[in-house]
Amino acid sequence: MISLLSNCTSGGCGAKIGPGELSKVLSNLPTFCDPKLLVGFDASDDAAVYQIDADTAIVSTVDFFSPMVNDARSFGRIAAANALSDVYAMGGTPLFALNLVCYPEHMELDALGEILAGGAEKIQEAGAVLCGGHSIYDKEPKYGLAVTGRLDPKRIWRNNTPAPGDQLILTKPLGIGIVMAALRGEMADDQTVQAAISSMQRLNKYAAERMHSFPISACTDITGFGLLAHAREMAGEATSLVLYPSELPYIPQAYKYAGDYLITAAAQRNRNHMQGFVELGDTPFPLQELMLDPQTSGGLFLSAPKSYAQELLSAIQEVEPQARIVGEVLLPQKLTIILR
Amino acid sequence: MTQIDAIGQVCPIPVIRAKKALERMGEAGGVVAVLVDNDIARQNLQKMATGQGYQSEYSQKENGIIEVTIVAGEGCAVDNCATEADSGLVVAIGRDTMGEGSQELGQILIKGFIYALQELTPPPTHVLFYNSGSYLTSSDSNSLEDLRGLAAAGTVILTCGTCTNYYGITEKISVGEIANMYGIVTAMASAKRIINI
Repeated sequence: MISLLSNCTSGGCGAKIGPGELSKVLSNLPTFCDPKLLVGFDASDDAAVYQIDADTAIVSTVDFFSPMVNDARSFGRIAAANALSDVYAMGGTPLFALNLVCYPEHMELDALGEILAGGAEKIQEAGAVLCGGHSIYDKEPKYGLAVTGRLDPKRIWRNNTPAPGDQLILTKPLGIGIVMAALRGEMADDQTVQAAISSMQRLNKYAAERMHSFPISACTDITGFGLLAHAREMAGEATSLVLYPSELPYIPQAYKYAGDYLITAAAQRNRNHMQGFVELGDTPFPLQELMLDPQTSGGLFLSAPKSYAQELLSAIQEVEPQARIVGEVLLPQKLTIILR
Repeated sequence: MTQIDAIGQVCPIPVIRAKKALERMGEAGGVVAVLVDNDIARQNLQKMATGQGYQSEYSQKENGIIEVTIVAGEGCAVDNCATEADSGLVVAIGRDTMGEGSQELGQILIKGFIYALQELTPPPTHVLFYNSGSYLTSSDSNSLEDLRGLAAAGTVILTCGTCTNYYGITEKISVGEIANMYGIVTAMASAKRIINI
């Protein structure tokens, strides 16, 4: 079998352009005004939301990256699960998807077939349909989806509207980036890599379905920016978030790998981005790295009223047993993120 | 000093290579210099160094290359080590025993001598092996581990090629490099001090 990874300098969401760099460029673009655009890119949310009528909005998103695992089918599944995730994070239901493919001219086409088959599996599992795509030659393989979904415009889960008094839930374990770094350094054990791959392949559909029976103040999915950057984005100007490092779910070996400095460039970029917004203080180094760790196809990170949080957590845990309450929402404090 | 060229390598690889090199130096410590081509790798290297209790500093080279110098070992500041690292000491070993007398005792002594060389800070710049001394770098030697420790600390280990040919052990040399007499003479000529065994 061909090695997908050997072609790639960086894979998965760890390859995302840093949050600081990105906002510098985006701030130069014109602002588009259309009252039907309910969530646009100026909001830095997970996906765009466009209103069709009083009860219907469409949610639209695109995501692709280069391989972070060697197995082509797994890569296809992960890239698709990751692209679909943005629709779930907005509270939407995926309707249809288009393939985005970059592939080296000299590489065997069988592997591309496997990538696309893996993606198609996940589109089916999401209950959506695959309806086309676009493919070009490129030095490195890349794959992803443009996904369109449906959403009730009155029930949009924005990423920056938590309410003071809420509790915060994280649905998937952290540590994906660290485990993939250990894999790259040939120091990861098989069982741990499998745990990371199955977590990345896991659709956020199941957690989102449980959430629809509860009031949700805010929701996003954890990406290459890491938990802390998403928490910072969620807090915005109107709140501060408390996180409980000791409650964070993570892939067990990832703690050890982080302690062995199997760390990524993306986590260090995320650390720089968080300066002045959080005091990591004497938080153990591996936990710091886990909170900054770039996630590929990460879990949902959501804010819900405290009175529902425990019941909501139990409902989510039926499908995502590693989900945990990882923090709470306060009125704005001196720091945006407080570790406790 | 151990040099690591990690240009073009993506984290965690530069950090793993530096950490392994530092660990190989053991308690004696030493200096590892890592070349990287991006500032994030520099930050990750220094994060590892600080976390492990090592001292570190960096300097910008041409073409965006950054050299990160990490120093392991007690009470050893970066600047002192960088200058002291060049001890100018060359050790020339021309036999596989030490001193006159019992052959058996001589072999125990030479093993102890090589072991003790590791304790020197800074380490010798070169250890040269010739004549029956060549056996000490071959796969039959019981000093290989100590010599590898020296090599990891930055000592250049050279064995005389004429000698390994003569004894038929060229294929068995297991640490350092094989050198011709010119290489051996150059190392001796550049020495500040020479210990002859």
